[in-house]
Amino acid sequence: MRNRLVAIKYFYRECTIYHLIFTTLSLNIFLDDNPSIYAYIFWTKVIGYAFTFGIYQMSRHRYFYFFYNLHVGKTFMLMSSIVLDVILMILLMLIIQLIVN
Amino acid sequence: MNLLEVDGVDLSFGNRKILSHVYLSCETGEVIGLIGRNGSGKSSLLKVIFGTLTGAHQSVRLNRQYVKKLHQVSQSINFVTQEGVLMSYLTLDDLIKIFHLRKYEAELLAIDEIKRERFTRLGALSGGTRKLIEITVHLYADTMFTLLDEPFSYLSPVLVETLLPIIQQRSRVKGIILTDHQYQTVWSVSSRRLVLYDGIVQEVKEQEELEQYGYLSF
Repeated sequence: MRNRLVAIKYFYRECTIYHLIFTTLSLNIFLDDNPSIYAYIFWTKVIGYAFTFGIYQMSRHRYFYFFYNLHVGKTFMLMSSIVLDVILMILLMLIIQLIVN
Repeated sequence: MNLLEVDGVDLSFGNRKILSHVYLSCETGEVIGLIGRNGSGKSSLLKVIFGTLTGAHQSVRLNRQYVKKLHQVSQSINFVTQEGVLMSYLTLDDLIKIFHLRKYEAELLAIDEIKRERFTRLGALSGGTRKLIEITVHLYADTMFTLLDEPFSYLSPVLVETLLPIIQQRSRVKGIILTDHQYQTVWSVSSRRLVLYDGIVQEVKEQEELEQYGYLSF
């Protein structure tokens, strides 16, 4: 369990910059007055995840072994990173909504 | 005593056959030295054992139990690839926490090259010191087996001399499989030497045998 938490922490850190870019884009969409904002946000984040993990797979592939050495699989890392990012995104959207209203 | 066995490994890249019916075993207390020419499949074999590369046929067994991806089995194995596996922003102090090495802290910090860099980011270290730290940390990590791909490349002779006793000491509690082109160093540290030739693993007893497998020309 501890290894998994360590893996989540470091993998999220590895992806932070890319997640932040796409979260900022999504929050920008969220502020728009458009009936389809949730669909736009959804697809922006999906593209963001594909981009993030694609870039990581291409440029930092060797660091997957750091996580494997903690006995944590790739699927678990990718999924936990997405779950964390979605939670953060929802929190930010709630905070923005509170501020705007 | 733990036993790792890989059996019937067949691996091809396109039309090129890399590994053919390979069998290899390693148990606690052994240092297996894997020798072979460039492109002979040494790194691929280590990846097959670790579980990040899958051959057409293969059987990996840990203590006689079949395992699909060995690296996903807790405390089973770790692997230091030739490129290194640790992120540049980590320090030795971080690694001690991450890999639960508090109980070995005194032993680790008894190594001068390591002690003085305890709080330095790996990215700020020389290639050799960084590699020494990566390998030492993984050797001390609590796993039954450690795979080392080219552990001696980029290491100066003095760092190799620092690393060899660590490998020998840690082999008392774990099995180690390593491969490197510094074959004399591999020879000196290994308890069993295997040569990978034409996709097949053969045990060698004398260095002269390396010639018949095309690894050396005396």
